[in-house]
Amino acid sequence: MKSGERLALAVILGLGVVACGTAGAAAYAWQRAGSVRIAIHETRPGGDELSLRLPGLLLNAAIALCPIPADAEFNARLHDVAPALRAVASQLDTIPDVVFVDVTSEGSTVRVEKSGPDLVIRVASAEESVEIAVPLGSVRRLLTKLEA
Amino acid sequence: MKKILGCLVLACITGGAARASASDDRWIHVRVDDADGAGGRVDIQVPIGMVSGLLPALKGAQSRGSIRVDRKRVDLDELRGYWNAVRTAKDGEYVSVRDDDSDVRISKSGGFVRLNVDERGGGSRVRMKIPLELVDAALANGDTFDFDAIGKALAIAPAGELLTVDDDDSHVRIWIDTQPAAAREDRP
Repeated sequence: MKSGERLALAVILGLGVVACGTAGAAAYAWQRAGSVRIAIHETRPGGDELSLRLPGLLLNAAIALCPIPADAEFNARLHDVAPALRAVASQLDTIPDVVFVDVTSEGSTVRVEKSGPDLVIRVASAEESVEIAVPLGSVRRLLTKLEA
Repeated sequence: MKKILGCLVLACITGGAARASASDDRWIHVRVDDADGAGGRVDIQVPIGMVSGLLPALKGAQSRGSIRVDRKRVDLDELRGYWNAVRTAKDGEYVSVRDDDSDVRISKSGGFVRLNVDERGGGSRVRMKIPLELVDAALANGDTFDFDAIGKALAIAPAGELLTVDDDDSHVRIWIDTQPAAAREDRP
């Protein structure tokens, strides 16, 4: 094999390794970031049905890119609650799956729970049910950003 | 629902007035059941460590550092004076009132202040057991509640029952446990 061919082969192999590595890293990051789920179901006949599943990476990117409003009052309030945010963020990962809040009133139910890697909010009434699941990692990123 | 919310406010204040001895893996539970037959209920459970962290945040929402108590209704200086007298006294029953409507007993024993109220004729029944350190923390800061101190007192509170209230409108229970409870409809 000529030296030029060897060089071309090396370049191709190098690009292949880089491409595979990038794809693997992206897949890992994609899987690790989890996904945001939003499901809305109207119980009436012909009611709307919405089920949305977004990669957590998009939410994480939005959290990273969106600026915190430069509002003095907001920042002062944020400064006050920062220790609380830190406390919540540091504990969410370590606690077991659990229902934090479960409220039932007049046929409606609101539930906030930790389920696996997600923080899940469920609202159910006679007319509709809504479920929102957000990866804890994204919640932690948001809390950390707000605290910073 | 207003009753439930009212009970929740009571629960937060009372729950924030607990004492402890263990670590942050304990949970504080608040349970409110409407007794009007409509099935309304509230279940809240949060790790103590998280509550201790969250309590100081209340100061930001309430005039930077505290919640003011209406001095027209509660003179905290006077209350603090009574409390200091009770705090340093021996264990025993300090208040016992019996009338046509109810029996009220306030006592101190085993590091707790205990309040028992029994209304006659099947009325309300209240059992409250508040750690002394928590009352200390609640009354430590002028005419305001010191949530930092309450959070620290709560962080060392022992497991056990803090409050139960049973009346015609609702049943309220606040307690500290070493583990979270399963959601009621999820239980076998």
